[in-house]
Amino acid sequence: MLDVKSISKTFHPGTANEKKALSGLSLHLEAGDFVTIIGSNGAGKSTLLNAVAGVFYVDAGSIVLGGRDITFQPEHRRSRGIGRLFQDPLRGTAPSMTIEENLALAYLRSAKGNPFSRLSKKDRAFFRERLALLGMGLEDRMGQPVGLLSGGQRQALTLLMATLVPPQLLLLDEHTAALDPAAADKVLELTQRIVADGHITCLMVTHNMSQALTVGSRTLMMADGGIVLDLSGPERAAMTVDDLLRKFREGTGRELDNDRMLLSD
Amino acid sequence: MLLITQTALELGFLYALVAMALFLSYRILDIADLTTDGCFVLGAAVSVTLAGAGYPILAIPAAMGAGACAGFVTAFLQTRLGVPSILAGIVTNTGLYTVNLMAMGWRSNASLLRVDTIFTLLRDTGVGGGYSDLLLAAVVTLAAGGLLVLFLGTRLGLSIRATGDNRDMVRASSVNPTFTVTVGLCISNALTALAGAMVGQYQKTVDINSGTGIVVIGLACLIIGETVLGRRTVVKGVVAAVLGSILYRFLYAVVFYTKVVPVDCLKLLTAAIVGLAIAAPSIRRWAAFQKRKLAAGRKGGT
Ligand SMILES: Nc1ncnc2c1ncn2[C@@H]1O[C@H](COP(=O)(O)OP(=O)(O)OP(=O)(O)O)[C@@H](O)[C@H]1O
Ligand SMILES: [Mg+2]
Repeated sequence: MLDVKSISKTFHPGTANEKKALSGLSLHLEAGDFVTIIGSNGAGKSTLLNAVAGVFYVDAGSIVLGGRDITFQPEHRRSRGIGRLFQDPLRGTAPSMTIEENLALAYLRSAKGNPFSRLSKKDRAFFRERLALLGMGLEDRMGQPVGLLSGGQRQALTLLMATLVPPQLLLLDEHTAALDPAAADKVLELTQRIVADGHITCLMVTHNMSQALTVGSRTLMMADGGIVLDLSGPERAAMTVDDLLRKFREGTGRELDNDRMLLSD
Repeated sequence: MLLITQTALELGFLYALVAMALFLSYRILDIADLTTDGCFVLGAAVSVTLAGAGYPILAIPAAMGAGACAGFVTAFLQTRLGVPSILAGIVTNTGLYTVNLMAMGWRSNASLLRVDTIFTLLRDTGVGGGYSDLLLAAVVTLAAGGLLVLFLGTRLGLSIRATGDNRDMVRASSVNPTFTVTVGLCISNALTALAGAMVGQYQKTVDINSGTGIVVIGLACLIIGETVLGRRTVVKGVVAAVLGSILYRFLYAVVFYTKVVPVDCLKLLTAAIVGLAIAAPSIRRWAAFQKRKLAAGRKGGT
């Protein structure tokens, strides 16, 4: 499904601020894989997701999604097949527009969208039905501006928008880190349900060690712009958080150090 | 008195198109588009020249097309060439000066004598009687406003609205913000040029400097309207542009006839109003801060 072949990215090359954020990283995902990613601050997790999403072009290597080489595709073209959530719940929605208008925009990703069509009754019914799945009562507030929603509600809405037209790949960058624990649980539960229902291939960066092992089917550990550990199957099932930290130490000679890290729930 | 009211209404409706254009560029796209001044004259120049050549009706869409081109240039400069958006408008505006002279046949003004304009054409049909000018101005402006509201409800319109709100999200919905900015600026400048085209034929004259300060006056109108109506929805914004523009023209008429302040001071007054209105949030914050400081000081003193 996703084939990342030895990609590299250096920020500010040739200056005092030069920073090699990805160095020859390769990664292969099968369709339906749900992969969690952990790693220290600055390991390159966000940079990997940005590279796949097309926020910048990589310096070397190639990225193939669903059989199509997207290495040189601009971000807005890639987003047709890639849904994305950030840590900041404000980044995924337009605050002064209403819930249904935000959903209508997300719906643009479907190929059949005529740019001059307006929201139809059918669209509204569809949005209402999907909003009801969130269990937050948002289906009765479709005409309200999104700016009035709480962080958790906004993130749940963003999740719905990213998956309204099922993406080939869903990229989640610590999308529950800025939410209060109850909201974070809710959004994570929704994520798991939507990903499972839609058989969506998903890459999720998390700062929660136990979540990294229990959610999804495969865990990657990143350090210094590369993948240092790739766990799946029985090996992953038998792994505890302590094992994971030890593995990291053995692999890199350093402690796993992340300022948002949670060792347990 | 009636005549004054009527003229104020006519001018109010005609200039409301500029306020509407600014609603689109400034409020929705969040871009201060300084192409406006030159674009207004461009619309007037094209319109007067074509009307002079005997095509008063064709003159209107032609002027809008010219305005859209000006908007395209500004958009191209800022989205593709990386010119900061304010500077992009100024650059286009400066270039337009020459284009406008050219459109007027290399003269600095042009007038229509004994030729048909869209206003005389309507008057000759007898529709609207003595109010035919007002009728035409109102119909054109309200139609443009209605179309703008309808357009902003379409998917393309929604993505233009999201561009000013959250560009990341526009990209995430597979739309290129470069495209939405371009379409938005083309439409807003077509509206500005439409205003110029209508005013040019209404006054039967155009001067190369007639656009000076139009952008500030347009903003003043929009702000006046929003102060009366509030600024939540698209419909309210468009209505605010029309209402504000009419109120402004009434204010102008009052000043003009009562001479409470010299008419020559009106631009300074307008600029001051716009400056203050846009600064209002900062001023309010500053006042609140001073109040807190004062309160804290008093507590410490006793
Ligand atoms: N746009 C950018 N310009 C310059 N440097 C950048 C940029 N983006 C990331 N970096 C640098 O690249 C390195 C990797 O950053 P990245 O954000 O991918 O880390 P991360 O693994 O997501 O860390 P965290 O856990 O803190 O989110 C960091 O040293 C960072 O400073
Ligand atoms: Mg990160």
